[in-house]
Amino acid sequence: MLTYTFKRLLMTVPTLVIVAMLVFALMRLVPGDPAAVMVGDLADPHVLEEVRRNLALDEPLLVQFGTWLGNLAKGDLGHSIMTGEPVLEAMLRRFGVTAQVVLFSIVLAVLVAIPAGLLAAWRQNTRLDLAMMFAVILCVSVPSFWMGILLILLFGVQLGWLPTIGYVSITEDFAAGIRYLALPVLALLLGEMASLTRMMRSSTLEVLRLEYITHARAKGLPEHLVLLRHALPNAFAPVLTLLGLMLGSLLGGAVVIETVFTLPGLGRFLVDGIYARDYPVVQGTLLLVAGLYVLANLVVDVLYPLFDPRVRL
Amino acid sequence: MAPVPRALAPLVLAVVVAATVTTAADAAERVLRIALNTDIRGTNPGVNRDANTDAVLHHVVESLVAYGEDLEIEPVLASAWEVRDAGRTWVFTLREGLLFHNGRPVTSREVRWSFERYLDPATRWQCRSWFVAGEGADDGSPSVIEAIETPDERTVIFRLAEPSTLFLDRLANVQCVPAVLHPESVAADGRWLAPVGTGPWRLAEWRPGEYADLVRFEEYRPRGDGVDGLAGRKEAHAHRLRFLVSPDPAATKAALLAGHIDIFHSIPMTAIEDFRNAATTVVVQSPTLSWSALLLQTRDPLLSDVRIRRAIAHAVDRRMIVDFNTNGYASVNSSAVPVSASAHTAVHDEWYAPDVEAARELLRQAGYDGEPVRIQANRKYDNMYANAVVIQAMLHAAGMNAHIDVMDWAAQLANYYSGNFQLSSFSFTAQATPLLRYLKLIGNKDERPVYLWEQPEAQALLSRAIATFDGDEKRRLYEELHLLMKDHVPIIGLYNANYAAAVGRDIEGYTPWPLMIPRLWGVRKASWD
Repeated sequence: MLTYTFKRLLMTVPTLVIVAMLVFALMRLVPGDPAAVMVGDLADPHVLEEVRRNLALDEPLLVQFGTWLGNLAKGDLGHSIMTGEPVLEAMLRRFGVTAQVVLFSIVLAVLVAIPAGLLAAWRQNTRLDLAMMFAVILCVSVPSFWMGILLILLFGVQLGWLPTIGYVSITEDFAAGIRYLALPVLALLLGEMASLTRMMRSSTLEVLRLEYITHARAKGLPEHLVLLRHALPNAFAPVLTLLGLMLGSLLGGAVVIETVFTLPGLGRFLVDGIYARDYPVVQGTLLLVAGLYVLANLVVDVLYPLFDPRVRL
Repeated sequence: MAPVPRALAPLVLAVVVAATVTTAADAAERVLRIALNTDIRGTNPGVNRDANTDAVLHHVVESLVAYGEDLEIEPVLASAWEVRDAGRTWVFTLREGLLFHNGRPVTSREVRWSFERYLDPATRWQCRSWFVAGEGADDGSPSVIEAIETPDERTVIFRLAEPSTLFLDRLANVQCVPAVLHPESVAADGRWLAPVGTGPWRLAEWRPGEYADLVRFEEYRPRGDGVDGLAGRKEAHAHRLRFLVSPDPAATKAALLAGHIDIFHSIPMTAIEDFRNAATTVVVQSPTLSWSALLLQTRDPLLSDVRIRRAIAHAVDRRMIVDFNTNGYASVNSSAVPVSASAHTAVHDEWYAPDVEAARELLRQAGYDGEPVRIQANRKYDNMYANAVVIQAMLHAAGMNAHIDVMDWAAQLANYYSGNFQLSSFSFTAQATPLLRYLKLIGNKDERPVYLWEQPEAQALLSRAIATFDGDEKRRLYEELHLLMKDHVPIIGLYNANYAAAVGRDIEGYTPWPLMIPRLWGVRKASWD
């Protein structure tokens, strides 16, 4: 396993280099001048030229790329064109915000989805199963941003229980942080919970049809042991794969949720950077997102054999 | 449904408990919370800026002069000024008793230091080209500063290379405000730290992406009688100002309705009635100096024919656009002189009446044969897109084959600067004087493709307007310019929008004004004693 993990980590390097080249090239192919966005419609062309010079945007593309890559090797992702902040520092701070929201929602989603999926599969085609699947389809169908706005209206405006704007980190003030996280986490976890529940139910149904389950029941094992000890470990493997993909995607930034709930997260950082043509921000953030995807999938691949011994690394 | 795991119970309890906790300290401190749709760009005045950045920094820093409520220039840090040598020498007298946020007195030394810093290329001050030789400014009429003299602690003398009627406007400009700062604003190596200014609040904290906090400067002494633009009396009733970043208008609306913010600075026009009908909010409005317009590329093979341009002018019904897209909250205006400006006369209201038949006739005379015309627009600024949609329909009605090219704002702005468009649905930022607006429009496109109007006659009129200090003469020249613009049609002005703010019902003293910069001095809550 260690050798496998090491090899996969080594393969990350060329992956990220290719991502870096693609991001660099694609951003510069998109029309739009970051200097013009920075100065707006008021500046005269002298100012534009000066801003471009100051930001080294007037240098040949290969020089710009070489400079960026050289700095990247030293761990320097440059400075935001818009705010002048060091990109690495800004990115990590924003990632912390996204990570709080995502991890809370994923953990809560898993805690609910796993038993829910097991129960639905166990009670397949009963009223309970139908009711749960109806709820799941509803949660999957409702866009998270719309759910977010409804939650804000209910809990923030009508009831006045929770804040509708702003952010406090749980590392600074746990109680206040929980208040600010409650609604975005809830908006995010409903969709995740629904997807995980469906996957858990499907894979559990497949496992429950296998002979060894029949054997376990025939031996006289209590049903809860059949489910938890025999069915769950095997049924969980596909859910783990989905979890990995979900985690990678969400850690890249749930931009819509972050916008609706005014969270200073990674997704909003990236989108704001794209609109502003903030090349260092976009390049740095996409590299981080690509790295997160790779890492999430690596973790899933390494853990998979624990649930399915047939798979060898 | 599956039972909620026991693990969730403590979390639910924590949320409920946290939701009921109130902080006594927050209730005692007087805080005003205002939403910004994007984060500020920095804290260094005029270096890295946009409208939101300016809005925050105007509460922290001040310049020698500023625009008053009626857009006349008023003294701020200066108590008076004198013009000598036909506009070549400007002598400012500083007020007595002024203090910086660090408690140090404001003297002519710091004024000189501030300006020398702005003129230093290393500072990257965006408006440096206005005051420096060889940069050309944006119009061939720079206010080049040759020397800054400080004969005593309260006198600053600017000696210009040549007379300039724009010098005072440039000192008062709201975008890259030439604020007077204390040298402790920068480190010994010249690195920017934070603005040590003279405003009624000082910068406490900027959390990028979240908020900017200002705290009251207790030694600030309000001057003047009442709120007067960016001059006048700046009474800081709030201990703290919190500018919160809230990019989504729906979320900002919810926050105001819930009382989690106090001021929604610039609300969508379509939301005015909602806020008027809400029990907890009030809407306040003001005309603005921003100008929505349809830009025409006069060098385009099709649009180079003035008959085509006049046909488009006849086809576009500006009143209908105002009614559809702004719910009537705008003033029709095809002149570069805003409706709310004192220089706007009846002459500026002359324009082509909406007349589809006249448009068709002009197109026929010009030999128009169904060639496509493309209107650029973006979705970041919904008014530009909405205007493009209505204009497209109007051009179709006149028989033109019009299409809309929707692109993102960065691309459309780049095209504006490069002149790479046929028609462009655009909106110009407010300019405090008509002269500054005309300076952006008129010029030779070979020198700068950003210019929209390259008629020599227009350039001649503009040069005369730049050269005169006589306000009446300027007004007459603006009228001539407008009539020339009507004849040549390099641009079709649509309207000067109103802008509206929504505030909590308990907010007193918040008044919007044409330059659209929110002003939180003089603002208080009714519950504050």
